[in-house]
Amino acid sequence: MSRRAWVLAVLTAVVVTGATYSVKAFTFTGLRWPNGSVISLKIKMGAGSGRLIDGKTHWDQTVVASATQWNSTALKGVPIRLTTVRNASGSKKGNDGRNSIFFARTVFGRAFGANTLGVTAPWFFAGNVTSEADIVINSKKNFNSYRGARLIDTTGVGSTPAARGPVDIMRVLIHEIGHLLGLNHPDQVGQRQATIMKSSVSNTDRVLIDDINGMYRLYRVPICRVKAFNAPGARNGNLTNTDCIAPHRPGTKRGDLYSFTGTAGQVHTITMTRGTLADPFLVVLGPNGGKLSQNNNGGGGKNARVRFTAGTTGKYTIEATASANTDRGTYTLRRTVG
Amino acid sequence: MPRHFSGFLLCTACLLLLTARSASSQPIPMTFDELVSEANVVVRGYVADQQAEWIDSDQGRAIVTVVTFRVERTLKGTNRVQIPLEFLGGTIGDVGLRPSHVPTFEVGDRAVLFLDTTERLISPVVGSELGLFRIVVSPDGSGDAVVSHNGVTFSSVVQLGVPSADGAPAAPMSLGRFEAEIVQAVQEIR
Repeated sequence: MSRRAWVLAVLTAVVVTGATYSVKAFTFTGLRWPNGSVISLKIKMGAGSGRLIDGKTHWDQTVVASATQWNSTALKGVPIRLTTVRNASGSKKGNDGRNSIFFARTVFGRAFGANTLGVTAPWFFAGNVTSEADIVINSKKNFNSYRGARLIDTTGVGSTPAARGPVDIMRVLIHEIGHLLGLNHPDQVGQRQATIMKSSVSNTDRVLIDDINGMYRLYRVPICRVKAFNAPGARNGNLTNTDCIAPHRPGTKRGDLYSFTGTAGQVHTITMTRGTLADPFLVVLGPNGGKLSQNNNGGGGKNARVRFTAGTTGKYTIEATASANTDRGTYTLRRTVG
Repeated sequence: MPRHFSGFLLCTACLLLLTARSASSQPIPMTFDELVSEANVVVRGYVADQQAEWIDSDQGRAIVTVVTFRVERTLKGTNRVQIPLEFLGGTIGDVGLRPSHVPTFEVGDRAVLFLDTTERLISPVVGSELGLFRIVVSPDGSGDAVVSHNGVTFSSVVQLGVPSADGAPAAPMSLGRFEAEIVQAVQEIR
């Protein structure tokens, strides 16, 4: 290839990738479980006392729910899985061949220090292959389980407003499980968007697209390239085998993702009309990454249609996918406002 | 010989290097005033040596890395020539432990460290890694500058501990100005 053609190819690649996805969205610990791993999490959290804010009655339930988040999104498309064992037997130790999750005041005899909520301690061998990982949650901290913005306790008990409020243990567990799986902090490569893997606890309470893509990239499966769809109108798409596994659909349906900024109070109508795609399926995620709405045949015939009123201003995501795992083909996506 | 992290703003490879050398856990964000008050020692210096070793504990055997930090300037606490700092994690032969949210270093790294040396911690850096500020070469060539543990630049200490918005990164604060802020804050809490 001539030098001119090489330069043109590189510039084209930069423009194309820059238009669809940021390379700063995820980063890694450098460790990886072997393909085919079934990672058994031995939960030794204990019962706690009373009912948690979200209705759970046992700390173990928060671990199970956190592992389920990863299994039902990012891990659907990669060759590893998490399993959980509640009330697991055995002592609360590390480096014993078991992946244990427990409360403690110390980690291998070392205290956590100010403001540290939890630690993941993965062991590895030559080739940076993870062999065991334990998660230790700081038992000195005030935890509960709830979704949404972090609670700030204004009673004045703690040292600062940010440190006083009960911390949602699930977002800590989801974050630490992310480390266990091999993800690190994307803000360390300049990423400023919300992800569960940001280095400090925040209002993000679930696995988001960038976290999912991190796992897809780590295990070398197609990532979900999110295309901007800010101006209402129509876009032609094509579900192919090179698209990612749709993160918010069961099974191995492929998905194309689009994002747009919605203003609180706006009414949005999104339709996905089949071309050669046999049976479109639409999922819409809200600014917090949670599933807002989904539809299969509400657009007439096999077409999908979602209509919703934006509750908050922020970035909304469309997951254009299909009803069947093997369905591939063209479609037209339309978005109207009002 | 101390080493600068040069050209980090422009060099993607340098950013990746910084990332690869920072391990991961989840702290609650801390403001600058909190970092100053929680630390019993604040120093500027460089990593002169580090050694990994096995330890025994009631939670099993583990690896720690003892980092010898050569002090160039003491900003809070007793003056000393060097400080041994023990961090959970490390590699011995083919076996390694890489705990989340515990920083890792290379010999020659320069940094300002907010430390809690009052007890044995997974990381003596306040907030596990929040009190680590790496010294880099200012992109305008004007001298040394500092960035936070996760590579984020800041132009004012009031930006520490608050979420940073998307957009063009701030020009990094000069090392001299950062140290002046620390000295003033230390005097104010006395």
